[in-house]
Amino acid sequence: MEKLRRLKYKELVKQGEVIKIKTLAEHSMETGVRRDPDTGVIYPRLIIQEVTAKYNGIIVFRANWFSGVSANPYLAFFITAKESGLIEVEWKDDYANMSYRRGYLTVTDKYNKEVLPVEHNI
Amino acid sequence: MNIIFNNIFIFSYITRYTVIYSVLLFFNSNLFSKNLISGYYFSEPTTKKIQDDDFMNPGFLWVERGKNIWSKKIIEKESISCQGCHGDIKSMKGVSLKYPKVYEDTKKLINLEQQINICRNKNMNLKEYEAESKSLLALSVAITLQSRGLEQNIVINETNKDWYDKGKDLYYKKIGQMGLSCNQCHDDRVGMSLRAEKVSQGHINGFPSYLLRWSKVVSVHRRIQFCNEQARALPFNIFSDEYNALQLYLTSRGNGLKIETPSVRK
Repeated sequence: MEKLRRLKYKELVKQGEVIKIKTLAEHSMETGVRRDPDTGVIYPRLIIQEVTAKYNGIIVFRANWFSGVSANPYLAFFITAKESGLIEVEWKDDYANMSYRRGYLTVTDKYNKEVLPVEHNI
Repeated sequence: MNIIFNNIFIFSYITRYTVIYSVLLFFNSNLFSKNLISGYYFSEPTTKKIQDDDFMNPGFLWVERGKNIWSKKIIEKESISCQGCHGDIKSMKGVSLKYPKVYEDTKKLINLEQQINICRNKNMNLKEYEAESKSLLALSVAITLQSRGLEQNIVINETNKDWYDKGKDLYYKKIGQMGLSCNQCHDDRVGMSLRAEKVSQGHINGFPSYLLRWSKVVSVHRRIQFCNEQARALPFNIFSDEYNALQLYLTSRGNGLKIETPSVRK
């Protein structure tokens, strides 16, 4: 069955506000040290190596993980809202298996108008 | 003048001490009397924080998986799924409170996970799940979550009185190399420390719960097995009659506590 990924944040914010982005990944995070109690065979290592977060296509957060991270890792970080756009989070495996979640963030200015990433002034 | 002053001094002394003693007695009575305290209050603040937030709680990964299984049609043509007979999963509110109960065909106690397996075998013509498998626990957690916030109230009557007595005997029986019984820790030494942990009252209102030490969701029977291993006793099998009887006694012992599945424990 497919592994579950979760992403959550406040979707409607004012410009300049600091928002918390929460992620949770379902993963066994096998360290490569444990043995099978009956046979003594080492379980092969399988961890998430890299997490990257993009805000409108620009990397705003990146983390390199090693075998000390717990199973089902929870990760939260902060960004400052400037303009509306996509938020993408991507998890990369030992075997370069990618999985991602994304969502749309709506940013309004003080006149309650949406701030779009592209300006339409001619 | 001097005598009056002394009298006032003594009186203030006495009143102060009575206040302190009454406060101490109040706390003691809270800990050692029949007042029911959930295992939540014995865990560390960081563990409590994980349980309070539904997003951060890893038990909800199991819930999501269980909801997928609930609505998934396993055989496309015959369109069998749990949802086909029972409707939406919200209709299972309060169902988990009735278990473990006596199954009429075999006259034995079964718990919720065994009932899921019976339903799969009888009505859906599918293979039974293995004990402690991820899919079985996911379904069990998703069903028990629907009655979160309700109070445990299991009724002891003629049908399950014998099983209740058997469970009570097991609770007070000394077992293993250490010669320990359940009540020595969970009734007499509540609130004291056992290595780095606080001894709880041993209620099972949060099960199936997420254990941080194994980083997975476990059932009541697996947790009791672990307790037996630590007392250096030979554990019974999962789904055995002894554990079902013990589960019945533990459930009725905690009548009145609120369900908090999926809870997070150390």
